[in-house]
Amino acid sequence: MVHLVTSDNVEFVVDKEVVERSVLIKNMLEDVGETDQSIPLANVSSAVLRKVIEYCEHHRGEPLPSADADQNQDETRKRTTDISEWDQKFITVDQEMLFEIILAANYLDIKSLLDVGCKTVANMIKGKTPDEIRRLFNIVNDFTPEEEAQIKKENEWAEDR
Amino acid sequence: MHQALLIPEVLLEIFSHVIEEPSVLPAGFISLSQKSLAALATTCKTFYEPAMDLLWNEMDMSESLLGCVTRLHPLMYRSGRLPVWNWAVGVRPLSVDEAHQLLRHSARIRSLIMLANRLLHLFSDIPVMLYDFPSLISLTISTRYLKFLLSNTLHHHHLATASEDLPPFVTRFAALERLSVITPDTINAFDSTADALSRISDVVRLCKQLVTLSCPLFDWAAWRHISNLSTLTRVDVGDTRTDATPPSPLERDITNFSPFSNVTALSFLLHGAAYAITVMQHSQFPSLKEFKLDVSVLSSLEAEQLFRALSKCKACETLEKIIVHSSHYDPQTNSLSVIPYLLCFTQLRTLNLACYDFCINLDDDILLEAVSAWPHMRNLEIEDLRFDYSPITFRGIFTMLSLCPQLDTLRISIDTTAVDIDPDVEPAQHTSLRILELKTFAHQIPNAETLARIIFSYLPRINEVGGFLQSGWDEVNMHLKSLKDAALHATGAASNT
Repeated sequence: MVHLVTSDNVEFVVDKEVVERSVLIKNMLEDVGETDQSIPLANVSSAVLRKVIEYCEHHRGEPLPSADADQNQDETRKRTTDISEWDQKFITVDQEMLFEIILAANYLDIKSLLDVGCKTVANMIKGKTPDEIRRLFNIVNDFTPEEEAQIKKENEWAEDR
Repeated sequence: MHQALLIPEVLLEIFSHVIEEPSVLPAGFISLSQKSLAALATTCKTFYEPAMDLLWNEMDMSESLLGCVTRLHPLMYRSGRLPVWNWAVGVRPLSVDEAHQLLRHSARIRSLIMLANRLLHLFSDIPVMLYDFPSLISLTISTRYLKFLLSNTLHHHHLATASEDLPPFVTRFAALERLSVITPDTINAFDSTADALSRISDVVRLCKQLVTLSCPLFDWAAWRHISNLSTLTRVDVGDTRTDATPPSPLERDITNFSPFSNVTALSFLLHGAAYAITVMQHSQFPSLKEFKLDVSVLSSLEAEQLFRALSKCKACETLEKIIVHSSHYDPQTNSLSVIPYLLCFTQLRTLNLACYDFCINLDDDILLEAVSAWPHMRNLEIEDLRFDYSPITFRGIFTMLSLCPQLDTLRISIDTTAVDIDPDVEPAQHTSLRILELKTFAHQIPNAETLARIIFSYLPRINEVGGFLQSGWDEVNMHLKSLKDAALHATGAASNT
């Protein structure tokens, strides 16, 4: 078993096989060997880690993407926007939690979870106008009107007709 | 905005998922991915760079790039829609300043298409030295653009050595992974075949990292060059306008090439077969999986040379697919023993021969010997010219099927004068065969009902038999349908009780 301590100082005891879906933790364990010491995860809160562990538990035993996966495989992975039914239910959370899971997956280096999170955000973006995207993610438009007009002009070929 | 959207690698990961599966869109249609990426680029400064990099990753040198030129934009988009095809007629060429506008985003472009000949005049005043696409790895270019970009002052020996004073666009060929050169239909009106051959050969020799190459004919020096490229996996040579006789520079100076160590697919689309035969006679392809030759004319003599060369090119353990088509019909109908040359290909899964210049010698014994050598065969299609007679019998076909458990498609000619198998013998079913075309020139098949029973029993996935004269099989198919309907009805009735 592996002891993990979150940013809000909550300790989780997790099966090694489950927690090793994180490349970061797997490498740490390989470096330090068998230990009872807790691993501090300063960038992950307990609420988020609970979700991450739920995901890793569900996908326990599934093959991990190999480190030397070639570029084509990576492209295929990126371009496949389908999300499995369980993953879809799992990732149906509020926007704050969605981005926190993405951050945690990125930090812990859990490729498949990062995929699920990023695909979900990508699906929210598709087909939306710049204004709709700004409203969706609370983004301030920091372009001047002239800059915005120039970008629109250069990308006009990609606009609706 | 959440801090996750400020982390470049996360942002790139999200945006890369905005790109959908590649799909074939009608010309002029914009994908949802492109619209979404364009919207993201306009959303805020943080999104601009990663969205633009992905949006401009694959680009057409036509309207998409020309829209960056201030003078042209209102001409192109005057009605608020994308321009009609002839918007550039009478428009003066771009100036050097305008070329800088045109190439503003050139560093983002990894895949470039330069085919729109109607726009070529717009580029005529721009010095070739200005063209620079530093990230380019894939280029699809028409020979007209090639001629324009490879200035006539660049002589053969300069290109071959790729000296440092060459234009950036030319030196970029060394890093290309995919090169596709397209010949416009009117090529002969302005460019001699010998010039085009020389220019294309020069370009091919500049490429050092090609993975796929698709282009018209190139010379033996260029073939020798690509035979040494370990990155190369696919070569498609095609130019149906070329004469059957290769141009004069090809007639001399040929020695064997180095083995094409990693080429898995090789195809030729040509008028005559001589060029392809010469390549095959001087090459080894130890990794070849697919070979395709599509020519207008293939005489029996040429076919023999081709298949002999193919059998000696070291692909016996790897070749899975052979497709050879020729469209010219020769009423002399010479016959040729093709199959013995192909018996060495133990991994063969697809054999598709449709040659009308000669007959392919085939009978029950040859067929059985062949499929014994090809245990993985899935698609066997052999066109035959013999209009009045085929030595292949039903017994031969069904014996062959028992040796080919994975066969999915069979197209072959057959003698239908007698059904020489016993319909009452307990059949060993062939459950893979889905498509059966048995070419016969009989307008009516004798014993149609018996034959339908045999097909129904032996070949459960066959719903109808096709053939050259479909009417010949109509009665068989009618009986077959009745048997299928009856079986379906019986199954339905059984499940209701």
